[in-house]
Amino acid sequence: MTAPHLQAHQLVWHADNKAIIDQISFAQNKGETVGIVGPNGAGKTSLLKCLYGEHVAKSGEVLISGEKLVALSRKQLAQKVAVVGQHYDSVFNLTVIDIVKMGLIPHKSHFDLNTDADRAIIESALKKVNLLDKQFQYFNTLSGGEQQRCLIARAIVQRPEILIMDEPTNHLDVYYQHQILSLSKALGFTVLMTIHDLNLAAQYCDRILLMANGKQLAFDTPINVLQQPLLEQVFKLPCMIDIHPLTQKVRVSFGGVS
Amino acid sequence: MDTRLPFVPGILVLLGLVVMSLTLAMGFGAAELGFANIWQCMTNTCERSIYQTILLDVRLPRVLMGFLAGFALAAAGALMQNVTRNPLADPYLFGIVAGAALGATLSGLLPEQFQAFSLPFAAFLGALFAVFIVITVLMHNNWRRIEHLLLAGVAVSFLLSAISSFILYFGEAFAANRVIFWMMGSLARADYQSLSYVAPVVLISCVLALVFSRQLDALLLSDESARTLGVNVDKVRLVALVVCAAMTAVVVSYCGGIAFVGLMIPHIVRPFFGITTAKLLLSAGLIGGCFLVWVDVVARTIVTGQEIPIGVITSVIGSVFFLFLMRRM
Repeated sequence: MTAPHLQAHQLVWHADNKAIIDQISFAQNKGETVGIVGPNGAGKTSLLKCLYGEHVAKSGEVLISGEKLVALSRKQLAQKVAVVGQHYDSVFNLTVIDIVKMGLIPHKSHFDLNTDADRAIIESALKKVNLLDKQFQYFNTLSGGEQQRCLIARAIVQRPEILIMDEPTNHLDVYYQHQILSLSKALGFTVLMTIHDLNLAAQYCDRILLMANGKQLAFDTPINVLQQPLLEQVFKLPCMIDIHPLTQKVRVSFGGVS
Repeated sequence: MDTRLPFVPGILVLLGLVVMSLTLAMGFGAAELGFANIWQCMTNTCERSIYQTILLDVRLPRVLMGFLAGFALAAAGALMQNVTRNPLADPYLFGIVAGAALGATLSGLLPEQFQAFSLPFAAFLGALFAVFIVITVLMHNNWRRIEHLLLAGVAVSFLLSAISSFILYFGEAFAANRVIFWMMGSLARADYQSLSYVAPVVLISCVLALVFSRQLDALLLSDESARTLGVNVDKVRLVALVVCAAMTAVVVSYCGGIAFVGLMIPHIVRPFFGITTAKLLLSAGLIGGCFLVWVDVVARTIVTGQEIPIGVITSVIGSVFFLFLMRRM
């Protein structure tokens, strides 16, 4: 049996002596897409930061392809895990190609120059995200969906095993939400993301990790996690579960605040 | 709008501009030497031996120092702005000039038996002292916060300037004048010996910055984003800051306070050469070098028989430019 691609084991992380991440354990297989869902302040982003090494866990451990995260160098980690963060706002005018090129960094030593092979990788990444004609545009002038695609192109150039995305569908209209999620699945990476929209999670994720107050409430397939009593308890809203007529996936509908 | 130039042809044009500026600038000064004279001296022997002395011993080191100082200040400014992601950052923010001024003040005003060092060397020590304080404070504090770096630099600047002012106030008037003139900036001190100190520092600093250029580029988006690309952010930023400090300190020690070059030139260059470190550093350096060479020409010709301190001119140009920039931003 091969080791899970990404595994967290009884992960705990504190901020100001308060447990923000409390005993999270899950294992994700190669090629699987996992969505982390839960209310605001559940600790979703903090969990991601523990998994890509930005936060150092207080106890527990993270394993990447069976290797301990803490034993990997920064560079080794960057060769295995790429991150598409939530929001970047550079005061300087970085172009799309400037950002996509950054994906080469984990594969280069100080004295390496960019080769034709590197340029080919960059071009093919830009093609995959359909930004080839916008490569010299300024990142700050792109739409939200284009910015996400630019960062995904950077991740493609980084050639990781695991792609971690924090709220990739935030601020995007319906079309772009589906575009980004289909794209991230089509790339063949093991994908872990936080996501607010439970129906998108049901449609695109193989498994869902439900969190509240830093604790793990469920980790299973969408149909097993998205259950009425559990969701009503977590989100404090009346809720109904049925099957989406177009996608045949679980559909969650919430009633308003009474 | 994309105003960027292709990099290699752009740099070649700049190099041409540099060669032209250095050659033509040698023709200006108290003794009028035509381009024909310069050409003759360069290709053959000089018409009169005094020309050779003027050109080779006085003007050549001076234009070279002008170019090097401009290159170093502009490159350091570009690096500093990138590494702090702050377009208003300046190599002087570290308190480097204030530190150098304190060093110069002490060396100029102490009784003679304590004057162990020459003025430039004392200024260099003073500049390093300022950088040392800033970095030490940050190491103890939360060194990751960029704002802290900028604020610490400003605070150290004020402190050291206050000490210098105090010493100058009670100091002997003639010596005080000497220090004050030094602070205004001048290339008059330039000779081959001073070039032999400044050039290697600038060269090594730039090579180091270029070696780290990819990592420095990663910082442009955000620190966290750079860390996810495998960059040791604290280390890279420290290298860049030390490099900036070394270049600026060595230039300030020999040429005094030449303000605004490091702030202004990267802003002029960015629309044409982009913001990635290697391209910005080289293009800003070359343009900064040309700029200072011509400012020095103005400084030594605008008033007949007298030199205007070069720092005064760069400050005037720089501050007007700065106000225009603020209107556009």
